[in-house]
Amino acid sequence: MHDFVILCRVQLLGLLNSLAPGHRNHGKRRTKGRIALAALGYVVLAVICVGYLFMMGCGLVALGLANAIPVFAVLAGALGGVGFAFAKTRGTLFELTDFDHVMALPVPRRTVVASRLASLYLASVATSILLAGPLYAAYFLETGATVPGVVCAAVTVVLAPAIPVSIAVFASFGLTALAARFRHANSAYIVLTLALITALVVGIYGFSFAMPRQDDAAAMAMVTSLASTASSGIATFWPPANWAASAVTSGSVVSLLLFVGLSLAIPALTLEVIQRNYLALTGMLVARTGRRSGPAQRARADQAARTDAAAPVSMRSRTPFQALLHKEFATMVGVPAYAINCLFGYVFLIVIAIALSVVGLRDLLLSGVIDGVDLSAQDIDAALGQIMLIVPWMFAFFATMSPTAACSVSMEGRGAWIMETLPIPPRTVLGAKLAANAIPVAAVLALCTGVLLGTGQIAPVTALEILIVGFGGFYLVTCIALHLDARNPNLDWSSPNEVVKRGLPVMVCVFGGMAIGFGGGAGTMLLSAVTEVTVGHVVTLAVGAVAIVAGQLIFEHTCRTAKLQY
Amino acid sequence: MDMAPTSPILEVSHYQKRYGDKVAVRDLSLTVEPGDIYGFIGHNGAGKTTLIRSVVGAQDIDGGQIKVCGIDVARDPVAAKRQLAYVPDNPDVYAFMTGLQYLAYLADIFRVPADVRRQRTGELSERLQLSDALANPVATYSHGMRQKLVLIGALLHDPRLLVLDEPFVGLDPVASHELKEILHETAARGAAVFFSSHVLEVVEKLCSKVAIIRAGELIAAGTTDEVRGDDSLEDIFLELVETTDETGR
Repeated sequence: MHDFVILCRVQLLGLLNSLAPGHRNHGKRRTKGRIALAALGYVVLAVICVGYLFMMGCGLVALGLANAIPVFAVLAGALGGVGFAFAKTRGTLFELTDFDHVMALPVPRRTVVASRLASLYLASVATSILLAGPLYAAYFLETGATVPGVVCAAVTVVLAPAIPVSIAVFASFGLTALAARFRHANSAYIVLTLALITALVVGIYGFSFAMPRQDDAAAMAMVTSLASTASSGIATFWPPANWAASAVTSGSVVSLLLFVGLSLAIPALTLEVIQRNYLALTGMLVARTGRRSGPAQRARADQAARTDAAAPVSMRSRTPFQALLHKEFATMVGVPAYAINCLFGYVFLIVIAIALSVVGLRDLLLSGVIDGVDLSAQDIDAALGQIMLIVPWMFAFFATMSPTAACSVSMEGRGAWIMETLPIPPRTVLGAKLAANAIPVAAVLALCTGVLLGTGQIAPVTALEILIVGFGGFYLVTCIALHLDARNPNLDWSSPNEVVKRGLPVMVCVFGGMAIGFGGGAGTMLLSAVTEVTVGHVVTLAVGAVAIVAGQLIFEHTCRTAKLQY
Repeated sequence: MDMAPTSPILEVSHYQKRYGDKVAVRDLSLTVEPGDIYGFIGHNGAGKTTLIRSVVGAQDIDGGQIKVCGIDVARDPVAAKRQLAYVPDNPDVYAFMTGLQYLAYLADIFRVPADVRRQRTGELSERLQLSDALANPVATYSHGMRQKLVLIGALLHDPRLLVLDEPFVGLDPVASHELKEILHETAARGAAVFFSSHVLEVVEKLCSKVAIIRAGELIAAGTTDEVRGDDSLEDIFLELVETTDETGR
């Protein structure tokens, strides 16, 4: 137990550091301050999440589905941590940077594996508490809290993620093992992940769009029916959810014991299987292309090396700027976390353009698929001119979701010495990083504009606005973020997620994009309502142009002040 | 920039570097001439890597001046960096690139002509026994293989000054021997080598000049024979370091 606690503590320290990574020259006070700030940010997000789910629970109560809440709560708790476990298993369990060091310690292998699984599981429990807790709170407010009921609910919240996390661990290993055999695994992984997420988003909104618009009473009846069906379905196909719900709602001891028993047995089995085969499993992942044995494989490797050695080195001569640009694109594709987190914006831009082209903005608004928009056809027709003013700002918002340049200096990581010692001015290095982001954004915006113009969904002035505001919003926010990253990069990251998900420059892009998108859209729409639509168009174009100029001025300042010496 | 044949390749004049309130290196001066293989030795934390990083332009300086081939590193870092190549102690390179892609990247940056880069890549990779691995991702390389790759990359553009930080760490005996040969060849063609190492036997046999640094201060510098006298370099190093400890200077 002592060793287990120590190993868990090391991981917790690593997690805390990754939440607010500091520069190598930061003092303790500054590092603690960053951790406190990051913790505050997470608390705020947690409060929002809890509030939202509590309201959902109250909604289910209002529909007369209070007794279905425990099923949804267990499902939410079960699934909430699955994505996290699936994404983190590879780095936490099978591709440890400190693998040799940890395995050489006088600690049983079972303890090492248990500490790693524990970190995945505890993170899932934290998510389960956030997701299931508020739902249960709404349930108990309606039905009245009893001691057995609350105890059962607490037990189900803690144990809900156990089985799904175990399944996620095996699924992650399977995919990682497969990827290790495949030369272009990273690219395939990126494409597959982006495609899955796109399908999920399109599916959700497509389903909402396909639902016929109802009046309030009919809508309520439909939702009630759907929720009831979902509740029954979950209980049927995921028996642990049914057992947990029975334990909470009717105090069934048998159901509770079944739920607890299976929730403990599956993870215990997972631990046993993984720890017995741990060295073999990690060994499989280490055996990649180029390390296979056998004379035939070696001969093929020799041939490939000679062929590859001749062609690229002699034929692909580039200018230094082209070489830097190529390196930036290679980094995006070569680091899956970087690609998946920073390329969303491109995907969403294209999806939105296609959706608008196929459906049309008017029909989209009429469908009610956009939350909070409940207008009649006459209202929409009357205000369409003003509503169209929002479109460019919407594109600006999604353009800022592709901030590869924002963390590009940090992404140099421990290879930063290469950038620091190249005979290239900082302007050229930073220019390549910015261009590697700006060129694709401009191209995608142009593509989206072409699609919308070609299908007659927008007027030429809106097309121009999409280009100028869409690019301007992205450019301004990204130049600010790049300035921050160049001034104080995090080069000591052990996982790219520290930089692409939790870094300050990327956060600046996220919140800056929201401010520009929502603020700009609301502002111009309001302005046009007070004056006229033409004024709205003029202001939109002017703000977009100013954003481009401002962004360039910030970039120039960054080039003058950045030494790229860390 | 045209240089007279006898102009120093590296001139460090009264170099000083501070980290906050701590002076890491103070008032250090040394000169590396064409043809020199210059060894730079000192205990852990003495300031070797600090000086080296300032020479290669990876960090700024707080006092003094550093010139590479007559070019002030602080005033014209780009021109200075074109003259030199750097091999760090930790050969961390882009793991997602293949060895060939990394070499092509450097060759493009240093504008090495296609035929020259092909010839040098082939020759050096054969000598360092890395040919078979060049097509593989760097992520699959061992530490020693990465060291070899970084070394090949450093030599592609035929630098005037080759700066290496602990270059023999992680190299197998064959590669170590080849590296020594390469350093001799580099010096023989009129360039210079400046490297730090803890392996005093290698420094003693390989270097024409040596400097010893302790706690940020230069305590000995000159030809290897001048510095060691009749003793071994190890004996002199230990004696100088202990003497400095006792006198506090």
